[in-house]
Amino acid sequence: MISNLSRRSLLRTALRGAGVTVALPFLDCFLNDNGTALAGGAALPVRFGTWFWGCGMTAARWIPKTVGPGYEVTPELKPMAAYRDQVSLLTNFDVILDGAPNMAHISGPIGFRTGALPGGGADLPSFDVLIADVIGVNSRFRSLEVACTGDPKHSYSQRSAAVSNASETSPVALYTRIFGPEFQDPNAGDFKPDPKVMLRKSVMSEVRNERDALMKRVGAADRVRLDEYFTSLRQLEQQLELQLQKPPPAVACAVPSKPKDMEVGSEIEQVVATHTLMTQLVAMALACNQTRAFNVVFSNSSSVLRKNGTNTTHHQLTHEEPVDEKLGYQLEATYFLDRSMAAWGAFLETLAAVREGDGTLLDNSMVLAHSCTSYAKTHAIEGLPAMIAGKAGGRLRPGCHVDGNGTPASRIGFTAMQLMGVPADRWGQKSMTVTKPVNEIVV
Amino acid sequence: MVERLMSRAGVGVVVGALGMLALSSGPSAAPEVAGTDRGFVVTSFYYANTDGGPEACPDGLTVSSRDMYLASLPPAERAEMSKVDKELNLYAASIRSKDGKNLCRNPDLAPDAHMRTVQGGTAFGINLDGTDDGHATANSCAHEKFSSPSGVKAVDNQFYRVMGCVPGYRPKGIDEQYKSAAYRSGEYTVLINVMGLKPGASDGEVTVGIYSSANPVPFAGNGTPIANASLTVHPNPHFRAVAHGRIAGGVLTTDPVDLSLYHTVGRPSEIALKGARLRLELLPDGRAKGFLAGYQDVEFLFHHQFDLGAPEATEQVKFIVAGAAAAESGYDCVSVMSALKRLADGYPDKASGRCTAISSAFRIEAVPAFVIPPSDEGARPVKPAAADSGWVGRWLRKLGL
Amino acid sequence: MTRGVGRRFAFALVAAGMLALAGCWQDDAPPTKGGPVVMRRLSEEQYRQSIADIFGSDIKVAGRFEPDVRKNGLLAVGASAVTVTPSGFEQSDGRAIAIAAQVVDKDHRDTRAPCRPASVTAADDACAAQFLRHYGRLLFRHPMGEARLRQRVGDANRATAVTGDFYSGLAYALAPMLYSPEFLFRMETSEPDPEHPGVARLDGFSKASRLSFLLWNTTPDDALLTAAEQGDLDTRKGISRQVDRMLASPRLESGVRAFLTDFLGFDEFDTLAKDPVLYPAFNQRVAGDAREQVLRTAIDQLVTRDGDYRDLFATRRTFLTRSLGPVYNVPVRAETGWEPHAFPADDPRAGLLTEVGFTALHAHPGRSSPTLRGKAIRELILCEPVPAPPANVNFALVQDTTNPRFRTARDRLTAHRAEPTCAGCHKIMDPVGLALENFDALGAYRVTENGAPIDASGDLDGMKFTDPAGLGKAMHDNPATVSCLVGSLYRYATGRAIDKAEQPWQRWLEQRFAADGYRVPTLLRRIATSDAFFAVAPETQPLPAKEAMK
Repeated sequence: MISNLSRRSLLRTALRGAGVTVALPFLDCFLNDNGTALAGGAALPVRFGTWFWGCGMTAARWIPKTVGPGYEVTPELKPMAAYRDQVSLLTNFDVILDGAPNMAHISGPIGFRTGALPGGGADLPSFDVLIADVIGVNSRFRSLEVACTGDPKHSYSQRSAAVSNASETSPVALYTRIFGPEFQDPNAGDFKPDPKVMLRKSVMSEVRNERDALMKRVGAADRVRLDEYFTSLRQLEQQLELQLQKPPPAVACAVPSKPKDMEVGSEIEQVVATHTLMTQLVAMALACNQTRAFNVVFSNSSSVLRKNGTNTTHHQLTHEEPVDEKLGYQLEATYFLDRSMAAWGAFLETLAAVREGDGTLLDNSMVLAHSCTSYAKTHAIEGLPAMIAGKAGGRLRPGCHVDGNGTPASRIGFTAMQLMGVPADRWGQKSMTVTKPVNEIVV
Repeated sequence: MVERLMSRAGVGVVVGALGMLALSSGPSAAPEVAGTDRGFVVTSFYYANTDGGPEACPDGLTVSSRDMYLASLPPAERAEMSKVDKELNLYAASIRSKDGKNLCRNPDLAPDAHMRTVQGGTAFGINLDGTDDGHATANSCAHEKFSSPSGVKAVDNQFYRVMGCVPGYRPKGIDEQYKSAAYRSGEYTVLINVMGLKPGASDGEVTVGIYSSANPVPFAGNGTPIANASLTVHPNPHFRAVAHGRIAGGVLTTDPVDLSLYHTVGRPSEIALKGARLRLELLPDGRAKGFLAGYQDVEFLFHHQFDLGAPEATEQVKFIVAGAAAAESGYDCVSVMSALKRLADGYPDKASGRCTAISSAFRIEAVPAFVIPPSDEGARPVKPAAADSGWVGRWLRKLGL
Repeated sequence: MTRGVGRRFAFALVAAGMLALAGCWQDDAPPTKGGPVVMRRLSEEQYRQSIADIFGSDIKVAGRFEPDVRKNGLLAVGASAVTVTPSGFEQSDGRAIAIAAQVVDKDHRDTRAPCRPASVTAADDACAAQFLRHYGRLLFRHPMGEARLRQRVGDANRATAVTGDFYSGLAYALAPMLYSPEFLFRMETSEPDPEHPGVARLDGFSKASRLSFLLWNTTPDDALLTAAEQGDLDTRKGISRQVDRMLASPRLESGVRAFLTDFLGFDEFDTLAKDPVLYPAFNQRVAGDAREQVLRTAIDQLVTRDGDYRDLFATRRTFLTRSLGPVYNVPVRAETGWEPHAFPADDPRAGLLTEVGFTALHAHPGRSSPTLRGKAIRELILCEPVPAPPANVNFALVQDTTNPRFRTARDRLTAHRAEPTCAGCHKIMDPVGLALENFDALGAYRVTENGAPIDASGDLDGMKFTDPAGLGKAMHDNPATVSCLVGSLYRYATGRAIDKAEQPWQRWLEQRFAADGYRVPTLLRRIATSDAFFAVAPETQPLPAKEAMK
C-alpha cells in the first residue's frame, strides 16, 4: 500500500499541471480539517467512459446545420433528443490515412482510439487505457469493458494490438465480478480486514517477487509480455489491498439485484436487453466506486446486429440496400442506427438517474461515444461521428455542436485525456498528430 | 415387421429390415428402388372441436360437479367450502357419492344431472359409418350427423356432441391447453408413414403406418416444428397399426383399422380407436393436416380420461385429482358417462343392441419426418411414465400434493 | 501402425548413420537454424486438459478465459504474442483458487495428496513439501527448485497458522502456482549444446513440453518428464521412443483435434448465430454437432484409417446425430449419439467443405456467402491470404437480394468480377465459394435460390468444376492444399511464422509427406523427431506476412 505521504506528493505533482485537476479516491487523508470536503476543494470523483456503436450514420441526416449550443435535433439524433443539452456533438473530425490502407471498420476505430493507423507499424494504447492508468489507479477495477453482442472480442480498449482488453458479455458474470462475494459495500457500517485476503495478497506478492528471475530467462519480446503480466498481477494485488481498507462511503451506491441468466447474441432485441442490464451494472459500479473507467460496446465495428426473420445483417444492409429514391437514405440500415441511438439515450438516462451530491452521475462523468465509420456504405472515415456526454464534474461544456473542419479525429481523444488528467501536450502519429484540444467544449 | 425407408427428395437409399440402415463403413448397399416413403411426425394432436356458434350450446355451457355440489349446500356451509384453503376438500367432496365412493370411478352411483350437449349441426371429423344420414347399420346405431365448417357432410363425431359444451373441452380450453403442452413436451408422439408410393407418383394406392413414438417431437426455440427429423417407432407393437389407403388429389385417406396410441393423463394411458380412419391433406410445402377419427369404447374411454389419478396414488388423492379436473374443465363425471352411453353410435352390444363405442375425431397437424423402424428387441411392455408427469401431475404439484 | 512406424524408424536410423553431417545425424533433411525461444500462453483447452491430467478429470474448471488471438492464420502462433491482461489475470486467480480448494477438499484430498499430515490442524513441513514438489513439477513442467519449494512451504505454513487447517494452508500455497507465468505460459529454456560448441539447444524439459503439446495438446505426463530428467530427450533414440509411445496412444486424437480446430478456424463457432425464423432447425446443439462432425470425419480419415489427407475433400464417409439429420435431410437411426453415415456415390455432399461445420460457419446469419467461403478456403486450407478491400470501394453496385434481376448470389456478385477494383481479390475468392452455393446459410442443400436454379460451376487455379464434388477434386489435386497443411502443422508445432532459412527444410518435408502417402501421423512423427522442431536460434529474419502463412 502506497503510504499516505506518497499519495500527497502525487497530488502535488499532478496539480502542477496548469488547469488540470486529478480525480482522487475519497480517502480520509485528503479530507480538509473539518472532514467535510476534499482537501483540494474538488467535487466528487469524475468518471470516464466510452460507448461504441457500429456502422456510423448518414451525414445529411446527422449533422445539424448550426454550430454551438442548442443545436438542431436532426432525424438521426432524435432518439436521444431528451439529452441534447447534455451531449456535445462533434462532426467533421477526420481519421486521416496518410496512404495507409483503409482496413474496413478497423482503421476508423483504431485511428480514433490510438491516434495511429494500423498498418503503419505503430502499436499504441487506446486513450481510454491511458486515462484509466491515471484515474483508475486506486480503484478496485482499473476499468470495466462490456459488450452487448455476446462476443468478448468486441472491444476497442487496448494496451497494444496484441493486448486487447476483452469485454464482459454476460450480465450475470459481470454482476458476480463486481457485486459478488468479493464486493465490499462502501456504505456498510462494520468493517474488518479479512485475514484470508491478507493471505491471498501475501502469496501473490511472492509471485511478483519472482519477476526479476523470470525476466532474465526470456528474450526481449517476451520481457514486454511478462511485464504486462506483472502489471496485471499488480493490479489485482492493489484490488486486494483496497479490500483490506475500509472503503470510503459512496452516497449514490445502491447494490443492484442479481440479473437473471439470459442468452446473449447479435439479434437486436437481445442486444438491447443485454445493454439495459449492462448499463445498470456499470452505473452502479461507478456509483459504488468500484471503478472510474468503463468501455461499453453496444454493437461492434461492422455491426453484427440483425433482426429475426431477415436474412441481412446491419452491416450487409449498409452495403447492399439501395438508397431509397424518395427518402434519400437506406431505410432498413438506418433502423439499426435508430435503435443504437435509442440505446445511447437509455444509457444516458440511467446515468442521469443516479443522484450524486448536487447533481447526477452523468454530471460527474465524461462519456465519449463514437463509431467505426461515418457513411458505412463506403467505409468512409472522414467525419467519424462522435459525441461527448456529461459535465465531467464541471470541466466540460455540454450540449455544443462543434464542427471540426476536417481536423484530425485524434483531437477528441486528446481532449478527453487532457481533461481527465493524462499528462500530454501532444498525441498521435503522422497526420493524426495533434496538440490542440477541442476548446469549444472545455470550460 | 419389415420397413422400407427412403430418404426424401427422390434420393433413393433403401434400408433393409429392422436395424439395417446404410451403416457399414464400405460403400452403401445397392438401393432397391421400389417406391418412395413419406413419413410424418404429428406436431399437434387434440380432439377436433369447434366453437359451433350460438346454436351449439343454446342453453349455455355445462356446469361442473363442484358448482353443483356447492349449490346443493346450505349457505353457511357453501361459504365455508368456498374458502381458498378448502379448495382440495371441495374437489374431493364434489365427486363423493352418498356412500363415500368416487363418482368418477363409479358414475352409476348417482343420478344423471343431464349435462348440456351440443345442439347445433356443425363439427369437424370424418364419415365413419358410411351413411349419409346416420341411420342404424349392422355396426352402428341411429344418430345425428354433422357438417363441418369447411363443408364436409355426414360427419360422425358423437364425442364432440357430448363434450362440445364443456368449457374445458372447447377450443383453447384448459383440457386442450394441458394436453397440447403434454404433447409438445414429448410425453407422447404420433408418427404416420405413407409407404408404397410409386417413384415420381403423387397419387395411388398406399400402405399407411400409424404409430406411437417414444421420441419427443423436435421443436425449434420459437415453437416451430423441425421438419425432416428422425423418430423411432414405439418399441411396443401394441402401439403400431398399418392400414390400406390411397392418395387422390393431394388427400390421403385410409380404410378402417383398429389402433392404439400411447397417451398420458398424469399416468400412462392410451387412446384406442376402433375402425379408425385417417384423412390427411398433403400440402405443397410438405406439411400435412387433417383428422384421425374412429370409435372409442365408452367404458375404456371413461376410465382412461375421466377416472383420473395415478394407480399408486392414495384414494384421497384420486378424489382430489378427478374432482379437480371436473371442476376446472366444467363437467361432472356422472353426466358425462350417461351422455357417452346415450349418444354412443358404434359397435352395438350383441345382447342389448346398445352401442358400446362413440365416434370421435382428433385434429392433426404434421410435418415431414423420417420414420425409423424400431430396433429388433421385440415387444417390450411400455414403461409407465412417472406418477407425477403430465398435466394432472402439474395439478397435484400446484395443489401441493 | 506402430510396427510399421518402427520399421520405418529403423530404416531412417541406418540411413542417418551413413549421412552424418557435422555430427547432426538427421536423415537427408536440410539443416535449419531454428527460431527464437518464445513463451506461449496456454489456450483454454490446454489449460483444462492440463488441470484434468494433473489433478484429475473430476476437478471442475469454472470461469471464463481470455480470447485467443489469431496470428499468421493460427491461434497457436498468436499464443506467442499474447499476454495476460488485468481481467485475464483476475480470471486466472479466480480459477486457481477454485481448483486448489477442490484438490484439498474432503472428497479429493485422500486421492490427490501423496501424503497425510501428522495433524490436520497444524503445519507439516514434510508433507507440504511432498505435495507441493509433486504438483510443482507437473504444473511447471520441470522440477521445482529447492529454494522456491521452501518458499511455497513457508506460504503453506503461514496460511495454516492463520486458518488452523493444514489442507487449507496447502490450497493457499497451491493457488499461486496455478496463476504463475510458469504454468500459464510454456516457458522454454535453451542451454549450450555440448555436441555443437557455440550453438544452443532446448533443454530436455522444453522438448518434453513441445512434444506433449504438439501430439496430445496437454502438459507433459510423468513418463515424458522422467525421460527429460534422465537425459533421454537429448538423444534421437530417446525422442523417437517417446514420440512413438505418444503416437500409438488414443490421446493422439486430442492432439490432432486441437490442430484441426485451430487450422479450420473453429473458434468462430463460439459466436455462430443463424436467424431463428429462417432456420428453425439451427440451435446451439446443432452448431456443436456440426463442429464435432467435421472433427470426427477428419479424425476418422486421418488418424483411425491413417488415410490420405487429400481425400478429406472428397470423402463421403461421415458421422451424424439426430440433431444434424434435419439439416442434411437424411434419416438417422441412433436415437442418441453418433452413427456412421455414407452419402451415396453421386451425392453432391462430398468432402469436408460440403459439411455443415464448414458451410454454416462461413456464411451470414441470414444467407450464404460465396465470398466468405471462398476466403476461408483460400486463407485456411490453401494458405493464400486475400488482400484487404481497397479504400474507396463503390458499394453502390451491389444490389439487394430481392432485386428480381439478381436472384442468386452468383448474379449479385457479378459486379465483384466486372468492376476492376473489386475483381482483383474477388476472382480469387468468389469462383471457389460459388461452388458451394447449393448449401444455404445453414448448410442445407438447395437447388434453387429465389426460384432461380443455382449454377455451382467455377474454377480453382485453372481446374474447372461444375459441382461441389468437382471442387473437392480440385482441392485434392491442388499442390497448395498439401503445402498449406505441412506449413500450418509446422507453424502450429513451433508457434511461429516460418523463417526464410527454414524454407528448404519445409520443401523437403512436403516431399516426404507426398512420399509417405500424405499421412498425417507420419508427418507428425517427422516433425516431432526432426532437428528443426527443436532448433533454437536468436531472433531471425521473419518472412513477410503473405509468405509467412505458407
